Amino acid sequence: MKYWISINTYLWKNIFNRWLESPLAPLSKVILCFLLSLLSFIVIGLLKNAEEVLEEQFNKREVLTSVVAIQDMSRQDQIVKLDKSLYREALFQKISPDSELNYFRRAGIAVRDSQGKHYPTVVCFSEPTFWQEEWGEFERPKVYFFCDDTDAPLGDMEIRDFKFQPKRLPKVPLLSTLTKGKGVILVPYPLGRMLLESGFAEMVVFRFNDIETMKSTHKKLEAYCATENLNYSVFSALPLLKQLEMFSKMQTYVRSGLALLIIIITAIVLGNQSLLEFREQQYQFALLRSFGSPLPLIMLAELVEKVLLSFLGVWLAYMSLESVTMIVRGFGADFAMVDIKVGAEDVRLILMGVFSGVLSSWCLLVMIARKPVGLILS
Amino acid sequence: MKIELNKVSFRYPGMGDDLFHRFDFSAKPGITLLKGYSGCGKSTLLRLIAGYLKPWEGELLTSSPHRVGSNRYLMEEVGFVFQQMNLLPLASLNRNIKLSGVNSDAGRGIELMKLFGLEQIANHRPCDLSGGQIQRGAIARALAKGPSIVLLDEPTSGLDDLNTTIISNALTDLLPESSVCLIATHDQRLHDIADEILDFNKYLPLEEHLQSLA
Repeated sequence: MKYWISINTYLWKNIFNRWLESPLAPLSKVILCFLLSLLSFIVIGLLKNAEEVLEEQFNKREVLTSVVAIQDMSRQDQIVKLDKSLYREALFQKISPDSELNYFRRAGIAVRDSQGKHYPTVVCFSEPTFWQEEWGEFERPKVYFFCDDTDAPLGDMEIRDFKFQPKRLPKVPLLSTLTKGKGVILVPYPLGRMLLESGFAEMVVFRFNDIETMKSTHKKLEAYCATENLNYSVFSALPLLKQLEMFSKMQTYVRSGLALLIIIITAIVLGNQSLLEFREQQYQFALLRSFGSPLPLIMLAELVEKVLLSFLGVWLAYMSLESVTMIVRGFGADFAMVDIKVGAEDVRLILMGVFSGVLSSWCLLVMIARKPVGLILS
Repeated sequence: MKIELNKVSFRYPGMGDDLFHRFDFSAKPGITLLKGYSGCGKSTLLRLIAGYLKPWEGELLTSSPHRVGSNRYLMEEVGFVFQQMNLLPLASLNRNIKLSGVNSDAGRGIELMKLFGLEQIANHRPCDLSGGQIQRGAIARALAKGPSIVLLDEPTSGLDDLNTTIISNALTDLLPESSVCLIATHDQRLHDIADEILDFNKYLPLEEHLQSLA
């Protein structure tokens, strides 16, 4: 044990002596890893930031919501069409059981207020859940008037000759996507059924939990509407979501590319530098081997030295990331305006990349170092 | 200790012909001088016995329990002195002796340094020593672990008579009877301590030697 400690002490003395003799050699290894890591951290950080901003924006716009407008253009009776529509509602619920579904039918008859203004009438058959969080349980028998201007005086309203006073509520975003006007009347079943018998258009609002369910439901819906010869249009952010997905994939490619780049550059530069250093040390190492010092022990010290120096570079890059961003920001660079956040997994990725590069360069050294002692000390 | 080479063939990489071709050799305990022209294979033989080089044919047998060339074999059995650059440059003479093997005995090291007249410079690094001191230090290091195989490659080349005498005396006095000591040398001054002198020229006649030099 004492002997192994002595050998290791000598090897490390040799390493420190080498550092003192030519400080540029270890420094260049640290700087190489520092610059590579810093570049990677900045690129990864910016990409991550951009993805987060996009996701945030999408989430704000209820990106996982799809609105499907359907019109049955067949020459069937409106009552038959309504029955088919009710059957469709049940079917759609089965198509996408995990998603939240709101089925609306816009009646062909509008509601008129006391000033003669017309508002679209929407009949809701299914349980309307989208405002329950805000206003509690929906009171079925009541007629609701969703409008932007909640302070305006509310008079009697009428459909045909039927007069009523609806309960007024602020317009929810979901209804805004369905109707462009200032207000909309929401009539629950069965009150609204008679209105629909004189013609209607259907609108289904799906709220999905994830993009995969969204994609598969879209496919099923399109297939169903095509089979049933229905006129339909889908309004959703799916194309944008696909782009976001592509962006995420791109980020993965960029990360892998960066890691690969680090491995290659580190392996080539460190390999070349280590080779030159090793040639200078070769005789000394051969002398140690001639006493019986194991080659793995000698090579391990070389590996540890390189790993220490390169990890120091990565650590310095991580620590100085904020300062570097501040400096760049000082020069007015646009990209530095956002905070660059680097996660633990990114640090791990860079460390792995650097380590692989060091290991590759070290393997090259090991191959050379295996030369018989007798050929070196001749 | 017994060393035997059976039908050993060896050639250096890039060399056309074998330096040793089915070569048989056996070394008995005691001091054996290997003499011959430069390039006839004296140093190569020492390196083969130490396990620093591997023959491509034949076998090398010793009475050591360790495999030839293994770390244990080098640590415990072999004491090798090279022609030059024998000492680790960053270690003092004392440290060089300690680093030479697991069996290196500190007391024996001090004793050897006294014998070789090195005790005053025991803590000096090789860069502060003369050629003679380095060579004496190298021999002291080789002997410190009490090896059963001592291999010396031109140990006295370039040394004055005084240094040569110190080395000769040390070898005769310190080598255990059972150990094998092979010295590759041109130095006539070492003839007196040899139990046997082996003329390597018989394996490589002068004409062939001149041809190989040409």
